Amino acid sequence: MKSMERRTVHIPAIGCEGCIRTIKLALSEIEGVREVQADVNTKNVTIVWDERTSWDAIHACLVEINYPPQAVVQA
Amino acid sequence: MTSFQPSAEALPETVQVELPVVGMTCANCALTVERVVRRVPGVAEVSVNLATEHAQVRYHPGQAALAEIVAAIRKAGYDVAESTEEIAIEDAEQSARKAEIADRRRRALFGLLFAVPTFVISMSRDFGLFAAMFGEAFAPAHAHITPANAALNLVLFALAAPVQAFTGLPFYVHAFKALRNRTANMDVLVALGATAAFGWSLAVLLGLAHGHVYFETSALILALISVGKYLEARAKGRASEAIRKLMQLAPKTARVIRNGVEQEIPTSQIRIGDVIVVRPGERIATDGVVVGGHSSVDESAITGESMPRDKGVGDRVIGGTLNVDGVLRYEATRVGRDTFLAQIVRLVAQAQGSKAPIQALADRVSAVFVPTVIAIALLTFAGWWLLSGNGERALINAVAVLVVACPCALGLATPTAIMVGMGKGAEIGVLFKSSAALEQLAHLKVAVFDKTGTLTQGRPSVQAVIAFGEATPERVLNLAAQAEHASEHPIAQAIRAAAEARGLATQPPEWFQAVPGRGILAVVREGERALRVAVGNATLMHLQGIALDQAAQHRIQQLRAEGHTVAIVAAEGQALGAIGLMDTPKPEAHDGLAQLRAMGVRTIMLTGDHRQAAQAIAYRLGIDEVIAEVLPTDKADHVSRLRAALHGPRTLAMIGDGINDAPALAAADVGIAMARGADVALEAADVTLVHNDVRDVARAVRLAQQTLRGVRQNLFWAFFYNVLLIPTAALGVFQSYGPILAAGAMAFSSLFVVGNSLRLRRLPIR
Repeated sequence: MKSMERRTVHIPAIGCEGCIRTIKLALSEIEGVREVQADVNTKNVTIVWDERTSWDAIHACLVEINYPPQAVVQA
Repeated sequence: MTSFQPSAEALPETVQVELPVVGMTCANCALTVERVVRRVPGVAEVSVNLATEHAQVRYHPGQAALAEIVAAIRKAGYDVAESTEEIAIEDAEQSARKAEIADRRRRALFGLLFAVPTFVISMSRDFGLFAAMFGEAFAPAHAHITPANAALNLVLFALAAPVQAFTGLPFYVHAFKALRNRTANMDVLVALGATAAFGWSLAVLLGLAHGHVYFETSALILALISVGKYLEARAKGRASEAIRKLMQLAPKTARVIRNGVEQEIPTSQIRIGDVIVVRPGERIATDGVVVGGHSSVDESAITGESMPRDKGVGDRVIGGTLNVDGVLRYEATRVGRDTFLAQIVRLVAQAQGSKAPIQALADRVSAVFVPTVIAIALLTFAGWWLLSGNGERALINAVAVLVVACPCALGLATPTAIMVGMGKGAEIGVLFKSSAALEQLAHLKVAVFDKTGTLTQGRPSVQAVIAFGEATPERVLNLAAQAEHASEHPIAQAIRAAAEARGLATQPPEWFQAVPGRGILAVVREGERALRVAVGNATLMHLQGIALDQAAQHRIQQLRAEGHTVAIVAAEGQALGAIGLMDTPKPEAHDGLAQLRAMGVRTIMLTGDHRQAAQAIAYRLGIDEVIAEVLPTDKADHVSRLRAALHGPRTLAMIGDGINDAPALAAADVGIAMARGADVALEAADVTLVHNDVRDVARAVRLAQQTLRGVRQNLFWAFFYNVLLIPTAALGVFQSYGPILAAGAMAFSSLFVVGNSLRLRRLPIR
């Protein structure tokens, strides 16, 4: 069985559904990202990924698209 | 006409477009759009305004396509408002053109500002004016340079150097590009002459060589030719304004029935399958099929067909056409970029883009002249070196050949003649949009005419009135005219005009009702009696229960076969007669075509009409060839095919007036539009005939030939004196009289060129 990791982070830059779409689109391009859930009200995003990628790669992607994660809500 | 080809090398460095972006809801969305657009290779700059929902993008057209930018935005989950793409491209083209004109103007003015004083100072010295005023120190020196003359040379250098750098830059850039393509155009000639004159003079100034300075030659060549280029840039045709006009034809909003509710939505949001309601006087928003109601629809803007078409359930309607009298409900079958209108837009754009730039006459002459001059210069150098053994002497004479060979007046030769030609055209009602059109038209071999509105009146007129049984044609026409008294329908207008022409007094009906798409019902007075009258098509008669006997049906059928549109007239349930209407040839069309044929031009009629009707008109007009039953979207293909069969300088002109002619007008070497025609046709065409007169095509050709003759004469005079001086330079006698001879050559050739252009102005056009 593949090892899966899950992390929920707070992204204060989220302002609307458009932002969430952008984040989902960008993260879905990373091979290994399995699931992205986001809530526009709490600005929390939960990401599930497997061993083909790493948190560092996901973090870098979020920074690149101008949605840097601030705090880890749940590791 | 002279260089600055609309080819890739003439493309502006970057263009700016403004794209309306849909779907941005917060500041981060704007940042996202900026980010994805910036990542497209070739994009130089991007800024997104969230409030106005627009993205300003500056990009290199050679490296990035607008489509890629739009795709990037769409991929990020946002949208670019449909149909505005083309407009955005156009804005970019237009601003690029404006920038080009402003740039040329700046460089030309700058050049003149410096070149004129250089010329005046230099000539004052060479002709001994300074010597007479300020003493012998300023005498035109040959042997050794006095300090006063050295100082003067420095002044001349200071004046000429900025011209070389600023005004000369585009010439050097274009000359370099031409040489890389292994061709020599006018820019190469100008760059060569200016460099030889300036380089030589600089060498003299630095004491590396001895002799005269030619700073004024270098400055004046660049300045005068820049003036010519500026005039030309101004005269060059506008970009595809046609596309913008086309897009405006479709209405902005439409009333759609969704969930049983009628609501007004933007046209861009119509989906296939939507049912749309269109009222009388409104334009149809998109292509579709009628599902309810009946009406007549004026499709003249699209098809050029003057007679409104009757539409009922199951009939197709075209977006952009005008609904005349009834309420229609139709289902959208094609939307956005698939509509007929969008197809025409693409065809126009394609045709405009695929036209190869024609090489200007001045460039063609230069292509031969430049290598010849260089060969003579090399021969001069080799000859002197071998014969005298003096390398410096040989070099001086070789450079002198290059300096005298460059014709200053070259830059004025084409634009002055063209401007006179265009000016004369404007006086007689022939508006040329580009100078290229003038040159192309001079070589006209094939003239392709649209039929409706171009060769014909574009509206129906009464050609036949027949009466059944005991009725008289007068009575038939009179009753019809009274019933149609208040109608604006083209058929009604034609019937009234015919009645008036026959001296029949008509009065308004006591009652009337238009039956959309079918005709009219009315109660009219005839003497003491009031009659129920019906005027319209067979469907109307059928609905009114009016029977047509065999003989009547036969005669109506006959009229139709001859190409008539038939209006049947009935009173009190009895068919009285029928009126045959037809779009007839313009009275002057026959003469206009005869003039063209006398000039050796093949005349062809291109029409969507049935072969029989088209041939009947063609026979009356005496046209060489008929291509009938052509779909509107295929007109451009026919023109391209005919054009491909022509060789050498022979050209093809398309003459038309409808939107459906626009792609063909753009595809032809020269597109000629009737001023009464659709805006789009006028924009797609290169020439507009203000008087809508077919004879003006022949006049335009004669004017073009006359102008081209003028250009050739001007080019001759521009080169003549310079060519005369080449032997004196090659033989080495130039050094002693050179400056004066060179100045004389410049002055004389410029005077002759301008004088010849002015002479053209007074020549009558037959």
